[in-house]
Formats: sequence, structure tokens, C-alpha cells
Amino acid sequence: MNDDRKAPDAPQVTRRRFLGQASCAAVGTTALFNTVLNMGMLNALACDTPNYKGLVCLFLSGGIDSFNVLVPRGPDEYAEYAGARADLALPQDTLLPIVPATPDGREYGLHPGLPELQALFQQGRLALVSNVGTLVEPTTLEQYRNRSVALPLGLFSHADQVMHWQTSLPDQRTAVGWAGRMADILQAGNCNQNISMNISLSGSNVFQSGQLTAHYTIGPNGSQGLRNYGGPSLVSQVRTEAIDGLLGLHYQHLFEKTYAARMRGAIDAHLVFSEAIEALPPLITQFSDNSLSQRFRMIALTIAAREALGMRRQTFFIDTGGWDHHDEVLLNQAAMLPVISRALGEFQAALEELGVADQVTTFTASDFGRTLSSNGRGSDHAWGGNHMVLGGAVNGGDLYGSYPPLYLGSPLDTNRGRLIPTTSVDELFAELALWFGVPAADLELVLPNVARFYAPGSADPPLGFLNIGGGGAGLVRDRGDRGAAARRRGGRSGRALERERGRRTAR
Amino acid sequence: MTGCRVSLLACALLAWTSLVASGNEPSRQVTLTPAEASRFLAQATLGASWDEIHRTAAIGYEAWLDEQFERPVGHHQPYLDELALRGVELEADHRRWSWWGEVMRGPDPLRQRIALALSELFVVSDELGEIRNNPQGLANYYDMLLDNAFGNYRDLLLDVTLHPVMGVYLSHLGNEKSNPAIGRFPDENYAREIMQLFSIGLFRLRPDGSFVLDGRGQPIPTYDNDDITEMAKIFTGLSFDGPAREFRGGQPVWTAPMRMYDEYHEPGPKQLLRGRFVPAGQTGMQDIHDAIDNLFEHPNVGPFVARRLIQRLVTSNPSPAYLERVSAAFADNGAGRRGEMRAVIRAVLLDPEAREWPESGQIAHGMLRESFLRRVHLARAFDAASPALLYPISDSGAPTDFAQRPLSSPTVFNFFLPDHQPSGPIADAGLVAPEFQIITAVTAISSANALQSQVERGMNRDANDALEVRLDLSGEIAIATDVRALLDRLDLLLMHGSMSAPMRRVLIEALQQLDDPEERARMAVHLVSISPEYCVVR
Repeated sequence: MNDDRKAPDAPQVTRRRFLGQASCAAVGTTALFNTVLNMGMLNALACDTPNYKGLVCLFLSGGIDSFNVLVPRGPDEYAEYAGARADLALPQDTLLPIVPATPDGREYGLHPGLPELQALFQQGRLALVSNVGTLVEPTTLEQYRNRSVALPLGLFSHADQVMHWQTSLPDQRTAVGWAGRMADILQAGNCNQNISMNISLSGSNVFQSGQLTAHYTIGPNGSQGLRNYGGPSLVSQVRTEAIDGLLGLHYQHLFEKTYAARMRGAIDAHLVFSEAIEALPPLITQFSDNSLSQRFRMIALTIAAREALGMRRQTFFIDTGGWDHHDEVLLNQAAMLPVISRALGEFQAALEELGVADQVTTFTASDFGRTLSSNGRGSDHAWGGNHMVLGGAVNGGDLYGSYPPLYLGSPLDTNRGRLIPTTSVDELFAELALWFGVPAADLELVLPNVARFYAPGSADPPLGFLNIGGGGAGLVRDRGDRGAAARRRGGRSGRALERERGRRTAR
Repeated sequence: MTGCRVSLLACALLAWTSLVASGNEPSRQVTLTPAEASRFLAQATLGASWDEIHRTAAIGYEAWLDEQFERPVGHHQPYLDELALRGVELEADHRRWSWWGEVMRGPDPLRQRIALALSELFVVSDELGEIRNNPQGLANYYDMLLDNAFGNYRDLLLDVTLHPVMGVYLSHLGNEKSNPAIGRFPDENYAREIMQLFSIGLFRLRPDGSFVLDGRGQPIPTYDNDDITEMAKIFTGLSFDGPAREFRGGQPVWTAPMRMYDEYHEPGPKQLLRGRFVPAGQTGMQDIHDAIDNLFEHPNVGPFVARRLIQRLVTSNPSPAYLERVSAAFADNGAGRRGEMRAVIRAVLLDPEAREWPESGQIAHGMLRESFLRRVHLARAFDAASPALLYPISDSGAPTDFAQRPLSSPTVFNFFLPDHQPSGPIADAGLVAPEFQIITAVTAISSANALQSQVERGMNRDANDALEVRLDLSGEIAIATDVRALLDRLDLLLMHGSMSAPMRRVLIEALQQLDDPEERARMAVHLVSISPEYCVVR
């Protein structure tokens, strides 16, 4: 590791530098899209991004017990799993079988509440990434025990691990997320600077907060309008005029300034956003009547309106909580996972309907994994966990990373089955970022720690679960070339992995 | 502004002369300007009426606090008990009615304000079905916060720990000792959160709230995961104190502290923090007392609690000196006692940083009003009431409109994090603004719409008109023909006289276009309630 690594806001890139210099004022305001709109300077850069791509983060907050999501199913490995999980083990014959394209000698199944995801896996739309988590640097059990390695700040704490999953900077406490940093680089490629590239369906989040760009929040029914704003009655006119007047005043106090900008931005963006959404034909795909499915429906509609909204790149964020199952993990997951599975199935169907399935990738994230061992019907905060990546560009039907041994006291077990991640979130996110269109040369602006795990200029993709091609990415990978990925996966365990990491970190 | 400084100076002088003249007898006869009183009450209550502002101005801060400390407690559970006695099947909404009743009519505005702040520190939530379905239990929990609001922090920590609602929320109710034979370990949930969220936080603090740093400039964790697994053993063996005394499957009793069932408590010695331990052979309850003492005595608690209370009542970014003064009051109330809440509350509210009028150059002092508390403030400032004098307000829209409703936090981390930094000038200045976390492009607007409904149509809808709670704007309507007088009144009532001249000009220009006094008054109240200057309490 080199300690003089450039800071995320260091002016390294042409466009980035341009933005940085042009918008000194913008740095001081809440929303890039308000200020940039008035500059007119970015027209030369706008709309230079060729084809649409959307990236959706489904954050399962609370820390999902994901070793009951992706479960070893063959006799030996199931026995190992059941031994560690005790009363938390799912019955073997209830698991939904999946057959990864790359055999690793084990059989796997999904939680019985995930039939849509099982189907998507078999159709090659869904990939699973095993034992991924926040790491400051590659970490072994010995290093963990001697404290000879830097650990994520606030490891095992909800708020901190949520933050680190969203910033990919577990050695820092920063409010700037990696999608925010992507937007700082890519926002200007959108044709419309009125609405942020980053759209949240779950309110404020760190993931989509940039140095320069704020996210735009909508709800399951779209954007929120101020009642009777701009309406014809005298009372409405008076109110509209007064609100415009109040929000147009010059505020010195930072909180007043921020509040005014947030409200002004919300009013303006709603006018553009609601018009674009209202003009759409209805979706044929039906979404379930719950908040999660309805939020995915709203994302599908927003993507459908991409031309009217002038969007070439968008990220979306959904936070769906309640996964902190210290108690009754089996009952709760049995109730909650089907909701996730259905919503993702509906969303993918809607994307197929819209003809953008290959252009939208959805991934799951969560605070952390949970202990393999039981506290009596529940599990406690842990570290590495399993995650899903869904979409037409996904090299699906396979597992990535390295599925860990599950017996207690394994070489990854810090205690109680709290597993050290074998894949860093930096690797997971690097793959997503490169696919999304972050140039390889800019990868370290988005993921400042990534070189500790993956060489940004490498000819190989970080993990191989996405078909990274076109879109300005530094990599072009043949979708059919699964052999290389499989070879890498094969090597990503045990000592080979450590050797590989040793090489990387010795740079 | 000068007047305020002069009067503060006068206050200090008076206090000094009275100290010299008559021993340790603080002055009681300090009058305040109404604006000063209004600003103080904006911090110390959930909102004050015109009369309360003027009454407080006449008696001064100290006398007001002394009086509040002695007021009877406006408990929330009795109303529910009464309904239950009358055969009403209790629902979550009934507890909200009781909450509104006490917040509006209770004898103890300061205590109600502090209890709400404590409910955002010791978070439990009726988003969890088991809590939602036991409104008496949740009201009992809130009453426990009210009872401890002017007590000692150690008692508060113990009572929170033993309350069955917290036991269900953080799953230490029914938490059993380990059983290696079947691979079971104690639940770590409460052990973690009592340290992280209720007492000491993640990193070692100086008394001024700053991090103690190690040689590499990194903050130093207060505990590691081994400490968690040890502390988890302490919180085993607690369950409902039911009549049959059953650890498992016994009858739930939500309104009494949990009981220790020693046979389910982890035996043996247990490591505490900072080199302490509990010896083998103690009862479970002795273990818990020792652990609570161990946390209570930790040097972090003062600065930890100080920051959270200051943030809820006064300002998002207190200076280190302010924090240190409040920490000192936590460490010693002046009579050698640690953790006395009265001393802490006094220190928070009477500190020069809370009381001095902010200069125009102070561009970050104060805080954003909590989203939902704008609704409460309007209700209290305009003495909202129904003809039946009941408050059947369910706030069913509040979680969406305001992203906030008391005792309905989405997680134990409260509605917003204490170190939330909204991107833009606040983050650029390295400052925090927790309440901004729930002000988004959706809620900035939906809350404005909800406030408009509140002003125009009241706080609930009921088939029975006698139960509809409406704001009383008669005082405003009476003077609304004079726009300037109307704005003067709202400025004092809602903004402690801090309305800027440009804001006033915008409002005058708009309001003059409306002739109907009622329409004018309602419009004025709504516009103030969504204005940037009102939304930030400075």
C-alpha cells in the first residue's frame, strides 16, 4: 500500500478537474443539478455517454443472515453447515437446488422462500458472490488475532458497517458514498442536469452522496409535489409567490441555506420528473402491493422515462430493513425472503418488458453477515456474507468469490462463526463500477482502496460476474469467456488467494 | 441583540452580587425579554404559548427550571389503564392519544421534552409488532423515561435495561446462558447496544467530546468483540415477571421490570470493561448491577450523553468547551454526585452557548427542528384542542409525511444519526446536522403539505366533531387586518423574534393580497412553518 494514495477529491481526471474548477460555487451548494443548470458550461460535455445503464442497490439493512440464503446442500457440506448452525439450520430437503456453472465439488441450494431467484439463477440472470465484506486490507485470522492488520472502524456495529458498505472506505468515517463518487465523475454525461443521476427510493443515504452531487429522493408513487403549487386560485398564487420568495432569499446560515436548497430542488425536480412519468404508457408487468415491490415498480418507470428525463446513467437505492434477527431468524426470514424474491422477479420481468434487461444490474448489500452459531433462535452480528447480482449483463448461474468452510473454528472463524470475508466489497463494487462505465483509470477515484485487492488496470475483471463491455469501460470481456473467470474463481481460496493478495499489496 | 447581551450581563452580575451578599443564593428576580423567553422555551419545551412565553419572561430561566423540576409527572399509562378498565380493546393509536394528551395538557413541559429526547436515545419502537400490540407496555416504558428524566443516569440505564419493552426490542428478554453441547451462545444484541448507543459509544472520548487518538491518529475503540461476548453473558436470565415465574412461555407482564431467573443466567466470572470483572457465584441481578456500574463509571458517559442532549435541545455542533462544561456537570452535580440529570439539564440549557444570542456571523449555530416537532410546536403554540378536550390523534400519516413519529423509529439507531452530514455546505464545513437525514426531496414537501393540512383542517379527522383537534388561531385572526402586527406576533411566538427583514418583506407582500383575516392568518402560520428561518432554531 502506498500511503500517498490520492484523495478521492484529488483532481486527476480531465472531466473531473473540469467539474472541480468550474463549480467552485457548486461545492458550496446542496445539489449539483441546481448550480450546474445555470452554468451552461457543461453543455459541451453533456450527453456524451452512449447507451443507458442503470445500477440498483438493494440494501437489506440490519445485517441479513445470508448463510441461510445460499446454503450448502450436498451431504458432507450440509452436515458441516447443520453442525455450526444448530437450531438455525434450514432442513436439507427444503432447500431450492441450484447448480452453479463452475463446479467446486459442493452442491448448493437457496432458501426455500426464493423460488423466483432460483429460476433467475437457472436462467443465467442471477449470480451469487460468496463471503464478501468490508476489509481495510486482505486479512487472515492470524493477523486479526494479533491485531497486525487494520480492521474496519466500528467492525460489527450496524451504523458503521452500513456506512462502510456504502462508502467502501472502512478505514474512514466519511459521508461520501461510492455511487456519489461515481456521480461526481459521470453526472455530466447525462443530458439533463436538473435531476441527479442518483435516485433514492429510501431517503437520505451515504451510498449516493457525492462531494459535488446530491441524490434525488422519490417515493413509491414517484416525486412529491407541493400542494396547489402554481395553482390558479388567488390563495395558491399567493402561496406560490411567497414560497418562491422565501426560498429565493440569500441565506448565510448553512442550515437555512441547505434547507432552502433542498426544498427548492425538490419543487423544481418534481415538475420535470412527474411530467416524464405521467407521459408513460402503463407497465404490463404486475407488481405486488407492498412497499418494496412498489418501489421497484417506480424504478422501472423511471428507467422507462430515461429519454424524457435525459438520463444515460442512473443509480437507484432501496433500503429495506428488519434483517437484524437476533431472535426468530427462521420465522422472520421465511416471511421476509419471499417478498424480496418476488420483488426482484417482478423487477427483472419489467426490465425485460422495457427491453433494458441487459442495461440494468441490481445487487444486494447489507450491514454484515451474521454468526453461524446460534444465540437460541437468532444470530448475532458478524462480517462476511453472501450477496446477489441480478441482470441481463450478469454472467449468471454461477457463484463468485470463494464459498467458505462453515465449521466453527475454521481458518476464517474469528469466533462463533464470525467469518473473515474472502472477497472485499472493493472487488464487488469495482466490477459493478467498471460495468457501469467508470473508466479503469478513474476506478481509484471511486474506490480509493481498491488497489489493495485488485489492480485497476488489469486485463482481468475483478470477479467476472458481469459482462463488462462498451460503455467506456476499460475492459471488454467476451460474455462467453467463462473459462478465465472459472480459473480465477478456482484460485480464489486458501493459500492461492493469499499469494495473489500478497502480490497485489506488494505493489 | 444588544439588549439580550446586556440582560445576560445583568443576570451574571446579579448572580455574582447575590453570591457575595447572601452566600450561595442565586437570584430569582431576573426578568427576560419575551424574545429571550421564547427562545429558551423553544429549546426547553415542545412549544410554548403566548402566555407561557410572557410568564417565563417575568420569572427568568432559573425559577422556571426550579419550578419544572418540582412539577408532578404527566404519566401516559393511566389513560390507557382507564380505557382498559372501561373494556376498550387497546390499540397502538390509544397510546398516541395519551401521548398527545400529556404533551398538550400535562403539567410538566420540560419533563415531556426531556422524555422525548430520551426516547430518541434509548430507542424502542412500535414498528415492532410485539411492542405495537402492547400499548400499555410502551406507555409504561415512556413513563419510566419521564420518571427518570430528572433523576440519575445510572437508574435510567438500569431501568431501561430491565424494562420488558426494551427486553423484547433488543432481544435480551429470554436470553439464556450458553450451552456448548448444542452450540448456543448468549445473544449479543443488548450487550452491544447498551455500550454503543446508551452509554459510552464506540471510541474513547475526552471530556470535551473529541476522540482520544492512538499513535497513528486513529480513534481508540472502547471495546472489542471479546468484550461484547463477555458482556452478553451478563444480560442472560431475564424474562417477564409473570405470576407463574416462568422463564420460557410465561405470561407476558409488560408493565413491571423483568425478573432474573438465576438458573438461566450464565454462571462464572465475567470480564467487564477497563480491567474489571464480576466474580463467580454472584446472582444474576448482582452481575447486572456491577455491569451497569462499570458502564456508568466509564469516563465516556458524560461527554456521550452531553453531546446527545445538547443536539436534541440546543445545537447540532456544540463547541468542545460547551461539551466539556456539560460533561463536568454530569461528572459532579456540584454536590459530588455523578449522573444527576437536573445538573446536566441545567448545564445544557443555561450554558452561555445556549443562552447568548447568536451573532449574524454564526452561520452554523443551532439545529434543524426535528421534522415531526414542527407539528407538535404548532399544536402547542396555538393551543390545539377538541371540544371534548381529548386528543384522539393517531398520526397515521406522520411516518410518511415527516419520516418521524414518537416511538416509531425504524431502528434502534433513531430516525437520524448524531453524526449525519448532509452533502453540501454543511458537510463541506465538516459539520453535522442530524435532523437533515430525514429531510429529503420527498419529506421536505410532504411535511410542508401536512403542516398546511394541520393549519387549515386540524390534526385529525373524526366522525364526531367534538373529537376533532384544531389549532386556535383566534389571537392571530383578531389582529390579521394589520399584517405587520400579525407577523410581529408570529415572530415572537414561533421564531423568538429572529425573523429577518427580507423574510418579513416577502411575507408582507404576499399576505397583503389576501383580504380575509382568517385566510391571512392561516397562510401566515403555514408560510412561517415551512420557512428556512423558522425551520432552523438558532
